[in-house]
Amino acid sequence: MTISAEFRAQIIAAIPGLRAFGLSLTARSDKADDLVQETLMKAWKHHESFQQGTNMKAWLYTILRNEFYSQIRKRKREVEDADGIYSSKVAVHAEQDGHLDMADLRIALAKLPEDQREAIILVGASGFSYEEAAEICAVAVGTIKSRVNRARARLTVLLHLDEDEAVTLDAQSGVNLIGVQRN
Amino acid sequence: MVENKKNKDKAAKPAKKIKDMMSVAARPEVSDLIAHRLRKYYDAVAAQPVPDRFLDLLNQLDAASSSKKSE
Repeated sequence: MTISAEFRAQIIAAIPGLRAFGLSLTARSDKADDLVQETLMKAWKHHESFQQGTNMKAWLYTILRNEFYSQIRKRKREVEDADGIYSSKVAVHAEQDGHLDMADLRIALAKLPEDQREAIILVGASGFSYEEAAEICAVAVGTIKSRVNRARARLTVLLHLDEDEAVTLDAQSGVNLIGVQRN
Repeated sequence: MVENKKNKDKAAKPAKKIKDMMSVAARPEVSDLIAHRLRKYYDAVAAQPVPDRFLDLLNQLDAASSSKKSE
C-alpha cells in the first residue's frame, strides 16, 4: 500500500501545530523539532494503523506525546534533576522572543505540572475538545477537565490575573476586556 | 504591568491559593484573557513556515517507500 497524497497533505498541515505542542512540552525549539521529526517518521511507518475517517490530528498529537514521554522514561534521572533547569531554560529562550507578555506566559506554563500544562495546551490552544484531549492523554474526560481548571487557576496566579488592575490594564494583549464584560 | 513584573518571582504560590483561584479563573474576563494569551503564544509558533527539514524528510520517506514498492 502506498502512502496517499491525502495522508501526506494531512501530515504537512499538522506540522505547525505539532511544533507548537512539542515546544510547550519540551520548552526548547530544537527538542520540539526533534520530537516532530520522530513523530513524522512514526506516523509514516505506522500509517496503516491509522483508521481513515478518524481524527488524523489527534492521532499525530498522540504519537508526539507518546514519543515525548518515552524519551523522558529513557532518561528519567536526568529529567528529575532538571525540573529547575526546565524553568530557567524557558526563561532564557522566552526572553529571546522579545514579546514580553509571551515570555511571561511561557515562563508561567513552565511552572505548571506537566499533566496540567499539556491539558491546557491541548484544550486551550490546540483546539481539541475535552474528549479528544482525554483520548490523546489516555485519561478520563473528567481528569482532563480538572487538570484544565487547575492549570487555569495556577496561570491566574502566575500571570497576576487575580489582581483586578492587572486584568484591566492588560490591554496590550489585545483582548477587548470591556467588550467581553459588556455581554 | 511593569510593576507586576518585579513581584513575579514570588508568584509560585502555595497550593492553598489554587483553590481560591479556581473561582477567579472561572470569571469570564479572566478565562478569556488566559485563552487569548494561550492561543496567541501557540499561534505565534504555529504560524512559522514549516522548516525544510520536515518536507525533505517526507520526500525521503516517500522516495524510500516508492522504491521499495517498485521492486
